[in-house]
Amino acid sequence: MHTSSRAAFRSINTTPLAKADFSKNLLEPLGEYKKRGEGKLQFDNKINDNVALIYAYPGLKPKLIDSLADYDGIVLAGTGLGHVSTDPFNVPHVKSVLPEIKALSDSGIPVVMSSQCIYGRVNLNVYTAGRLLQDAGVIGSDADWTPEAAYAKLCWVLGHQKDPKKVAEEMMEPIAGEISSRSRIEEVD
Amino acid sequence: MGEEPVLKCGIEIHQRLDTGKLFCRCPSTLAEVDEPDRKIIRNLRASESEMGELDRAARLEQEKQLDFEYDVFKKDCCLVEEDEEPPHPIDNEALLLVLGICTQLNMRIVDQIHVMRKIVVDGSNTSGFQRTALVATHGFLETSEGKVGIDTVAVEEESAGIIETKKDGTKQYRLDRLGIPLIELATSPDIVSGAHCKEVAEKIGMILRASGKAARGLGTIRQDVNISIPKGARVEIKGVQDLKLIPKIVEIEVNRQKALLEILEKLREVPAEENPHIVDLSSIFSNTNSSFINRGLVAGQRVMGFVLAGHAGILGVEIQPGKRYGTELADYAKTAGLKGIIHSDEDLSKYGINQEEITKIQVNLDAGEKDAFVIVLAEEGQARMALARVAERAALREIPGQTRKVNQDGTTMYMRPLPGKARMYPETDIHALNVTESILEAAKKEAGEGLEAKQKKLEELLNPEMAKRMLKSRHSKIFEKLVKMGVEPMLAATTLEDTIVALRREGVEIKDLEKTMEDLFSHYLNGEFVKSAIIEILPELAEGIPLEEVLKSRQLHKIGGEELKKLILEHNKNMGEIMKNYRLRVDAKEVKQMMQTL
Repeated sequence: MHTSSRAAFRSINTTPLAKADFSKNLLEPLGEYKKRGEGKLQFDNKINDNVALIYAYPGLKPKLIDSLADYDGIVLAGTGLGHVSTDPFNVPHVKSVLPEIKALSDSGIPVVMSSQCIYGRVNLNVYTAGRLLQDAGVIGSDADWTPEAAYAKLCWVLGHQKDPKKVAEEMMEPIAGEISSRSRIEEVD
Repeated sequence: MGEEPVLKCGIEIHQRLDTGKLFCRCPSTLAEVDEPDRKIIRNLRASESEMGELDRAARLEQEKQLDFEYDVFKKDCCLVEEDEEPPHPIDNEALLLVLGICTQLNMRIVDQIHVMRKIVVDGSNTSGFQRTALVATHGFLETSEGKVGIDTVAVEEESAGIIETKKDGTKQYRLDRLGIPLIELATSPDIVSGAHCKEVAEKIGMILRASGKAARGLGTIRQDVNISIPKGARVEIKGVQDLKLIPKIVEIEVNRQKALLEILEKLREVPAEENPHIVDLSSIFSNTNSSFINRGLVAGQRVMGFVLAGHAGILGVEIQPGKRYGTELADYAKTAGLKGIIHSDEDLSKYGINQEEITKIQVNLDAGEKDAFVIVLAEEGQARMALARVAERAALREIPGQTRKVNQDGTTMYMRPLPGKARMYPETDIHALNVTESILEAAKKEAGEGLEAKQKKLEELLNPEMAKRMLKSRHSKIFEKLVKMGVEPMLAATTLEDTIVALRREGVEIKDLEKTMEDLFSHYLNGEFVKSAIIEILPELAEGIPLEEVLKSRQLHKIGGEELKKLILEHNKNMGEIMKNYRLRVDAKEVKQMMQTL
């Protein structure tokens, strides 16, 4: 979260796992975690890494989105609550990428939204852009994953599942703490 | 005035639901600690609604220009309560529960649920509005006085709980309560009397509790009573917690409106003066013996007042038990942050104001024999605002519609005007939800069997009197569990309703009652002790002593089998003697049976 400060590796959208006190050789757990030996461990390396992670920016060209049809899945790092240019009000000189996103989604390629904001949760119910993206088939509203976590998860889900409807369902099902249902106040202290 | 006024009365019930919070995934629990994990400070401003209107209640609140302080508890709050994150989709369990209850109340359920924002700028919600959604209309309830309509049922979010209003006017709230789901039921004005109002409130409360998911405890259910009489006005009395008080509240409000009508009759010839000349009377008190006025003047406050023409004697008319018309006017001054007013129908010597000062006030205000006056002590701007509000109220030649707050004795005080139409507008952050057949099916399951079915079941298990009590009991959920475990229904019921209640009266409070009861009765079913020992065991369990230890130290282990046989023979089969000495350790029925075999 910072290029160089000691907070560089600070946990995002979650509390740190534990607090270490080296002078006393103590590790104080702060959040929920699975203890060693608690569950059965299984190595599952079925991954489909034919997934693109694209950052939204002013001037993002429709042809860029159009060129992603060879991928099996797309993660978008949108602005704010999870937006890309959709131009709902037909403003001159604004290029919407909505038709291209809809075309990808309609062809069965899952398009997943995340946010380039460091902290916070995607919410596609607040602004028109978000609602249009949802209508175009974009998934991820209410998820507090980082773009990287969404990318890793999509690779994993696509490694196990091809049916777009099921991919969408499995993406929204928390499996390893990548989506939490509550935005805890101590996460942004 | 002739004929007796006919009462128009309806009731609004708000019941907290024992599901997750409505628009985030926090639990609906209140923090057990007082020390918050963090505090935030906000200042709210009323803005125009989408309709371009500013709500009058909202405007009035904003004039106070106050900061709001919020105590945040991390286990019970998240960024949604802090208004740092948009709402999440509506809680499914809460919504299904409310829909299910609506089907039990014969209601017409809406096709689409739209969440709305109700403007509140008293700071009780960090967002400045309360989210609410209409769920059903046109229902009814059978009562002893015939059908009472249920106009509307809504699901809404609970407000933040107020802790205190500080000296500088800052209000301090706690955020743990904010967002807990409430079901809001509003009846039609079909209620015919105070007693009937109580019956309706009780019945609705029982229907809600029968769902098994109504929250219990202090403040979890609130009643607002709406009352008017012909030529009177609709008055909404808020915060009624004790149902027993309802008949009294209704009576007092009817009498208040009647008394106000009589006052209006007397004032018929008196012209209304909305903008009276407010005079600074401070110089009269430069050498006053009134210590509180003196203190105020030294602190820079002013004594200001105006004349109420033709009002002599009227301010002293009692309109509620122990409260005069002057108190009604004082309530309006209080909305400007004052403690009250001083008026000419009071004994002014109690404030240390002497006759000479009174005469000077009358001269300064040009007050005649038939006139009254009102004075206040405050900083000038505040004094003018308070007096303007008093004048505005006194100039009314009709009974105003009001929102009033109930006091413990059943009297009420003015809070604010009734909210206007501009108060609600659509919540744009949450999609409208279609109520489909499958949602309705799930809702019926969620709300349970309903009051009548529950009543029938209880009547099969218990005697009529106990069935009636258990139906209303806060322990009914535990009762059902115990019966399922195999405990005799009457024993479970008397333990919960008689023993526990008696102990509570003695100050013995059992903390986790459900767990304690399950534990106690599983050992009872194992035959470790007898019924009559329960009352001896419970106080010790309340102190946290483990059951095993209690049985041992108090020697309450049940005597049965060979040991009992020995005991019977030792006592020459004298039942009375045995029961007298071993009442807490033997089961009478068992003793009797064994005696017959010996």
